[in-house]
Amino acid sequence: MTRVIIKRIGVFVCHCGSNIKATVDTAAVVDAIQSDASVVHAAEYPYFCAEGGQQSIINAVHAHALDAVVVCACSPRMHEATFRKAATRAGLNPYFVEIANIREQNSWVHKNKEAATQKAVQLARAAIAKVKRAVPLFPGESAVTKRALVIGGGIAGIQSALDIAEAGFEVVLVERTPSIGGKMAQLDKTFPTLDCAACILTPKMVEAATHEHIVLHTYTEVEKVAGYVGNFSVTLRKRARNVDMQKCTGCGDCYAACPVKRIPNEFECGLSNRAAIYVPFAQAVPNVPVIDRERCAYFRSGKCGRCAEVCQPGAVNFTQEDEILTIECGIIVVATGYQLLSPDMFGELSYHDSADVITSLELERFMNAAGPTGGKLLRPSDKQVPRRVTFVQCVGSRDTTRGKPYCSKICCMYTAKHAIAIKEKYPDSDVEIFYIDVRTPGKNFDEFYRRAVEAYGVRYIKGQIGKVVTTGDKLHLQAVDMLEGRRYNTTTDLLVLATAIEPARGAKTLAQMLNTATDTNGFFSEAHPKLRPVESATAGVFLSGACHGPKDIPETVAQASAAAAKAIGVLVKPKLVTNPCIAQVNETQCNGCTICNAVCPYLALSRDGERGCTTVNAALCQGCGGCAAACPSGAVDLLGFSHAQIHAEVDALCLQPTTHANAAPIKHTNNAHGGTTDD
Amino acid sequence: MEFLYYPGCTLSTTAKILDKQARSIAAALDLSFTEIENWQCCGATFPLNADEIAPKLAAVRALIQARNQNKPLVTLCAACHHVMKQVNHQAKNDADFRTAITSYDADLFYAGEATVLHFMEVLRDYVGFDALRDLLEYPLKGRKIGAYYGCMLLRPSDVMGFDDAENPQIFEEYIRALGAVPVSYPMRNECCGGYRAPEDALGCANLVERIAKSAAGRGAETLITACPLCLYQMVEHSGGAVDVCYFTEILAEALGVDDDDDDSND
Amino acid sequence: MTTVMIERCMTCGRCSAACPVAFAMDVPPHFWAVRVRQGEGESLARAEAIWSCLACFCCAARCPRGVRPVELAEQARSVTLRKENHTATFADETVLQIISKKSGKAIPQQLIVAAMRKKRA
Repeated sequence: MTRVIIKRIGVFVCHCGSNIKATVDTAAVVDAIQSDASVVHAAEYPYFCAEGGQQSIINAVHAHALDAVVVCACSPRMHEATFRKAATRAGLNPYFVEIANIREQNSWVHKNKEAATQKAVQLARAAIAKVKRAVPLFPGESAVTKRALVIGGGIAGIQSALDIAEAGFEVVLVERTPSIGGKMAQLDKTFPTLDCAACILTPKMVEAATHEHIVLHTYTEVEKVAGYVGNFSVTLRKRARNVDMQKCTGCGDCYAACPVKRIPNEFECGLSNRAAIYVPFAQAVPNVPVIDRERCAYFRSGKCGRCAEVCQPGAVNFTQEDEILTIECGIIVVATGYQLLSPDMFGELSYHDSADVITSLELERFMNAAGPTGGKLLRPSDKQVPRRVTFVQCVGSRDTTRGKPYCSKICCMYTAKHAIAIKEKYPDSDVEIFYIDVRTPGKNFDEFYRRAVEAYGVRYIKGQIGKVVTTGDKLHLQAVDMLEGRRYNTTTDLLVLATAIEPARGAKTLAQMLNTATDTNGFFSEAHPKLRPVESATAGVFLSGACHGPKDIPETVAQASAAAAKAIGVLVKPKLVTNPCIAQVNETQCNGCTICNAVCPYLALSRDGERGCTTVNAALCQGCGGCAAACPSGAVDLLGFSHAQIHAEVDALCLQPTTHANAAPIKHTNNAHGGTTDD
Repeated sequence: MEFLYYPGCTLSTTAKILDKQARSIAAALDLSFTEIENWQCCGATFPLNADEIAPKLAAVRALIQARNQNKPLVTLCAACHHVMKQVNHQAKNDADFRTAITSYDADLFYAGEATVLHFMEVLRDYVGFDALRDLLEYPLKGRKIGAYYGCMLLRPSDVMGFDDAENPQIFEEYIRALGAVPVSYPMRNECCGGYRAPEDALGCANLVERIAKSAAGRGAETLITACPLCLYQMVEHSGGAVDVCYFTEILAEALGVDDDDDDSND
Repeated sequence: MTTVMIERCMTCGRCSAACPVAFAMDVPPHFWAVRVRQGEGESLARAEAIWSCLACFCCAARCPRGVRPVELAEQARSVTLRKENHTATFADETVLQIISKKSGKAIPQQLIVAAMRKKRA
């Protein structure tokens, strides 16, 4: 790398309107930093990020033959890219631009103008010291595999897959259960329009399965993820169905013949049974059964094989084994969804004790025409239509002791939906809902909830249930009516628990494989809560649907399409520009101890046995700097943040005398070096 | 296995039978129970005010003995167990409390090192319910027995660590081990109202009636309890809807170590 | 001043729904944290409810936010007991009441001790 001796620096102090100027005497900053011999030009301006401001920087580069630029302004997260582009236009290497953050780390967090001004000068001096030791850096390029991997075949994954496929890219859609469809396939109706979930979902399931650009792998799980944006390599385990996908006609003779029939059907929440060879539901895609090996008599004892006997096309294949597939792809969309928190944690509500205490998802199955009761709402205990149905919301939501600290977001609306659906079907029934707060912020949502109250006579009671006691055929509820301010004891025939939503099983393991973060609740974390809501912190990994947090269907679909758009944005690129700020090993200093290899979260470092030193895979390195900090011999540098640059910054802050002789010395608070506050 | 045994005041007076049965069982099961020396009444309730120190010192003294002798402290009475567990927990987690107890008596330096076990936990974890089943002389075949847990063994569950406070199973497993049919009923972890017994007999009767009805409704013939106050309340107010006895009674019977000598229970 | 984290209460009412005796209380448990939070701890100390609390911990066990109303009741009782310097007679009367009953002989020791405890400063 060519070492350029930087002698002519321009410093540009931004007012950011009054954001900086109200707290920092910008003229004094301009004045003070000119004492540095390398600073040949200094100026201030209301908004350097504005077109005029950028142009003034470009003009100054030309007029004063500047070879580096320091901008004293907001966080580099905001406008570093802007000023690097301006520098490029002026003919400079973009990495000869240094930002001194005098807004988030200064004017926004201090009140004393004199001290803040002095701090701004010091931050500027540090940036000047750093840029003096800058080297020109040039972004590299890497190829993009024009294929997407979508993990999870619920509505989120289906939508993302379809959108990416429609843009002309190949998509591999992976689902771990035997059929795509996810939770939405289990629902009866959808709020707030009450259209039938299956009617709007199944066409999309079929479309995904038949799309020319989509390859579907059901009954398949992700085992390993390697690589980086543009060049992921993902290992999949396609579990043995023991039914040949090509030969099977979906006739259903096999499961009719299977003698093992009393297995609780997961899709029906265990409310009805399935055979050991089964399709989870009638509209399953693909409509090809799987053999549940743990329950199958043939696999347990070697005796049976009835399914194979009745299968006309001879599709049943007991010798089939799991298949390991490797998928090369440019991006990954995570769409692993959610599951319901088990109500077993809340014993006082008697879910464990009474069949007539059910979860909301179980109610969906009871209300569904394709469900275990053919759409009739029958009490599990005596198969009678309940005269009174009671709902209780926030079971495990907003619960910091036994449940989840967050609001599960969809329960208020689906409970209103359930109430309306029951009233529609059984107008004489009495529906009562216990709530803490009714939260309905969504398009046509509050109107929907009010309709339940006003048009359907659903009784909302602000309060909770503290104990459920089943006696005979009645559930006795010990509850409270908060608006009356007193105890409300009542009885009901069916109690429905709106249990909290939690991340799907295995989300954490997948996050570790993808090297991306989950939040304290186990949901996948977005790169930025406002500005990058569908990207994960790992480049090339996008988030779709409830894997990122509780979401209803419209929101899930919107995010799924957004994730697809972001993914397409990567896939269309002929080449990806790589960040040049990566680790560099000084081979003469490296003794090959491999301490750095162990700390690298991206597996970008490895020891070159022949040369006895560590080498960096530039494509994998994300520039976190962990290796540079870990290296005991100082052999690893992070380009753009070299040891020399960091030391120069520190020296500038700590060693140099202040120019304001009359100003009090500045005490460095944590704020001066803390994280950015630019949200 | 050696244990330090803390009987408490009620087991020395109105609940002598509970003490006696437990000692017979312990002897039959080769559990060495040494009564703790110079024990003082635990106070029957755990003061919830953090600044009340003196009422907790009796428990601290017992716990210190257990720590010093490196033996688990075993209790039978639910109230004693509750107080011992709570005080142990506070000693472990509250530095101010530790300082405060030493200011009463410099020798009372204690940081929650002792292990406190309820006799039921000894049966489950040191004898084992499966092993217990094999030792029975007279399994309680066909008997329908309900467990009445009450409050003090279960709550607060993070401190007591006894079982799931809303759906406990330990007594049911014990009943099953003895050959009987455990009858689970929703009210088994609800309060008998004992704390209000002196002032509000009517209120207590109301609570006990709900519990007894819930148990009887599920077919329980006998209820077992570990709490002398629960037992008293049930006898006083349940109107004979179900029989109530200490949990030790059914084991003594199944092991064949009960001697029907009831005169100690006065 | 209380060690109970009253600010966590979101007035869901589960404490009052869980409490076996809330139906008979003048001020049911779901008001307690709110009262103290609003600086009306005095009115809680005057409520009958705090004396009918059974200390069964159901409210605390089922509270989704980790608030322990049961502790507020005891603290509120202490306000009265300590401030008004209740003499032992208050407690002694209770004990007398217990043992004068016809079934007094069978009354477990723990109840007598607990009753004394509850009503002595």
